[in-house]
Amino acid sequence: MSPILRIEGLVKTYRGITALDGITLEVARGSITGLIGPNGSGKTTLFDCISGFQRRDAGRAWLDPGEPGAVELTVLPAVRVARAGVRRTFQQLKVFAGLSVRDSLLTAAQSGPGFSALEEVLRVPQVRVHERRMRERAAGLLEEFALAAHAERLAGALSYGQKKLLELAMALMTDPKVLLLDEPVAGVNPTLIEALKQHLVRVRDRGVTLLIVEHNLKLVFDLCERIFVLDGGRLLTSGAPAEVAHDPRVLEAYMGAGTRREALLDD
Amino acid sequence: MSGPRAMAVVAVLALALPLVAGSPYVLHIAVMTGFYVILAQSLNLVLGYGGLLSLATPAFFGMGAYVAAILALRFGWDSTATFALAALAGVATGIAIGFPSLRVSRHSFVIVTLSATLLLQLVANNWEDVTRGSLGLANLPPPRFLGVAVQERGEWYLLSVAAAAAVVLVTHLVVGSRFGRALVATRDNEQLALAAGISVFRTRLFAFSLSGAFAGLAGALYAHFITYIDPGVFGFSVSETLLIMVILGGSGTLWGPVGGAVVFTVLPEVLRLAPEIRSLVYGIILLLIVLYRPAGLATWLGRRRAAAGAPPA
Amino acid sequence: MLTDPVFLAQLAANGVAVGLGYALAAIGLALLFGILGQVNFAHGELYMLAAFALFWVTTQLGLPYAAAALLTVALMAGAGAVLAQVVIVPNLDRSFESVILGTLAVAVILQNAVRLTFGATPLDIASPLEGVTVEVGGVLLFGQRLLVCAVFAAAYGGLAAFLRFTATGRAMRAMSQNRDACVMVGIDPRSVTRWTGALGAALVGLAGVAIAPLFDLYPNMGTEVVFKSFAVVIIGGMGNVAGAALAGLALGLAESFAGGLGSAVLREGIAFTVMIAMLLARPQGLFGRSVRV
Repeated sequence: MSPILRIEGLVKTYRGITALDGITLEVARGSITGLIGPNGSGKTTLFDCISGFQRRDAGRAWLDPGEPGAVELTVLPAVRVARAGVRRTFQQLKVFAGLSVRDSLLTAAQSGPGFSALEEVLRVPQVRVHERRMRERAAGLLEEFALAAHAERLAGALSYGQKKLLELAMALMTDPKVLLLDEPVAGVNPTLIEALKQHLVRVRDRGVTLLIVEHNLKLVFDLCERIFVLDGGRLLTSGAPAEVAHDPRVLEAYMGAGTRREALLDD
Repeated sequence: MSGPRAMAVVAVLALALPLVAGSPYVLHIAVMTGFYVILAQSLNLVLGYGGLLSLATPAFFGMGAYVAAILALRFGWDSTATFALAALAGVATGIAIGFPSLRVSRHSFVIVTLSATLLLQLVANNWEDVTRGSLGLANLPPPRFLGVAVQERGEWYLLSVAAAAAVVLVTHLVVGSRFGRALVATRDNEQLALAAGISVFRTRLFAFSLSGAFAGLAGALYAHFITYIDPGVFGFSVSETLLIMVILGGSGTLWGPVGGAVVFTVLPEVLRLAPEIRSLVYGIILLLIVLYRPAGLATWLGRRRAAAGAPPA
Repeated sequence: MLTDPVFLAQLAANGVAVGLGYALAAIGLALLFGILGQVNFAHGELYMLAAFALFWVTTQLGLPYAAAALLTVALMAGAGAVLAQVVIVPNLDRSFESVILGTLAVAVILQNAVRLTFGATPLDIASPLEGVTVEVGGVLLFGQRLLVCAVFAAAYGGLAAFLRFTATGRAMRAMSQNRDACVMVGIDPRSVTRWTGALGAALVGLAGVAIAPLFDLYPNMGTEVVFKSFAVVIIGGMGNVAGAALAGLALGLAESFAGGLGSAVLREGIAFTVMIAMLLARPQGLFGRSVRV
């Protein structure tokens, strides 16, 4: 199977600091792939560059490379990347504080088959049909993520964990091809982490490819089939969790030189 | 009688009052109030629902006024046409100003909206062939809608209320639509809206243009009612007044700005304040809001804080 | 006439004089944005306040122009610090719209307070350089305009020196880079805010006292200044003081030639047109944002 994402030679610098120094990698279709590395290694910058939130200085990223419908992500603005089927969440949790949970989900599915603002205001039949389908999907996601009881509450009023779930649900409203998750379990309590893990597996089983940036290494090693390790803007290594966890270079990157640890996590 | 029905009756009675019991002066104020309701909703759409601090309302208002006035004086067209064109002029101005300014930083947006208003005032002052410069355009005839002239104060009042009601209705429909949801989304979290596939720029441009239509319409109404306009219609004092009306009335709500428009059109008249004193008071009120009601400010920016006592995860 | 070198030189000289005036008026605004990230919508009214304060000091206190000017600038610095303390400091952590609205409110208050105090009839400030002209090769240079150029040079140099060599200046530059890091090394953002406010107001105050004698004083005069200053700051790059200076000079020259070779309407439209063009093509301005002096 062809990879779903290909990144080639991605470079990004700010005022003399090289955040990304020529990253090249491929993400397998239908996989859960991890992206780890110490703080400042460039993980979020990588996400930003391929999702249109920052302009890279060099290099390219493709969705469905080699396929007839291939899309070069690095030349698109964020809106078009989202509409091409690559959705993301953010390191700093973002919600629409003034919209209800249900409306947030519906808004996340807004970019339907290209309706103009006028058509939406006048509620032309195509809009109404699309809206009905989206309401059904939203209801399904509300059930799945146990948010149905909060459907009419303002998103800003939810607890932190609930907002995290909402974020994930919003990203799923349009059946994305790829989901870029930036620290999906940061600040979440252990019980919810388990629940989130199950959600993510279910999402992958539906055919969505997941690329996850996380500092929670246990989650990453449990969940991911393949892990990329970034350090100082460069791709240090990649491989299956077991390989990566014992790779001395990775240990050095995380623990510093001269570390006597033999594994990133105690088995 | 049930609550909402009682309120509706009271509202209708209140609206009918000036017609029945009002002196010409009272009717005059009532008509102006209607215009200000329209202007307040214009700003509310962009500021309250869109979260953008726009100082461009006088630009739209002035354009509408001048277009209606010039068409009426030079060509004598029916007012259905001239008013429609005035609203369209507002839309065009909205697109012209919005296009360069909605793409850039929020600071620049405020600056450009202010500068555009100043520039239009300059043009109005200097393009004497068309606008007669600082002399202004006078002796505007009463508007004729398909032959029916609006001349009496009572008739003007009906027109004003009808126009204001229409604008409030349109605002209600727009805000309740999918587009309205998208607009609020861009206000609450621009990045997230982009990540959700919403074109923030186009959404804002549409809202801005629609607000232009409202204010342009108000301009046409104002021009014919006062029968005289000059470059002062582009003045900043309109923005100043509208900010107070919208913010104090309740930004981002449907009826808040309506209430604000009523209060702040009537109150200065009742108190018989000189214009400088009124502006001074508005400035002080605005400063006090900024300093002492930051929660109020956060509300009008639409970032409602999470309700106190949210349940634990 | 179009190719008369003296005429062209006169246009150039006028352009430089006016341009440096724009530059002097705008660098305070650029400084505030560069260091605090805030736009001061009372900028024009501060200019107007300086002019009226100068008028008051010369007529009521009877001080000669130079002394009155210095006193006025000092007063303006104080006013700037107060403005910063009242409007910006409480809103350092809030949305920037709060500061915009706050400074707009102050602008309205100042304009109407001055209108109520001095009335709307235009006033005039007497300056010792009035009527003084210097002729160089057929080109006329007005004394007051030469003063504006000299004041600009002194102000710019003084600002550069202040930012580079004083502890406060260093703190200000640090704050423009990274406000949180400032707090970590013990720099108080509130103090920096007050100093920046004072400095910004003093700079626009210098512009006011130097340029005011050239024109009539009226309460509305700040509007034109803020319009031009915004354009200059956007063209040069918001927050870039050197950029603002260059952009001001360039705008002055462009307007002078547009007016002399084209028409008055063309001259007035240039500032806005270039500003919009810049926003469309290169929103970060000619030089981008960085507090380089």
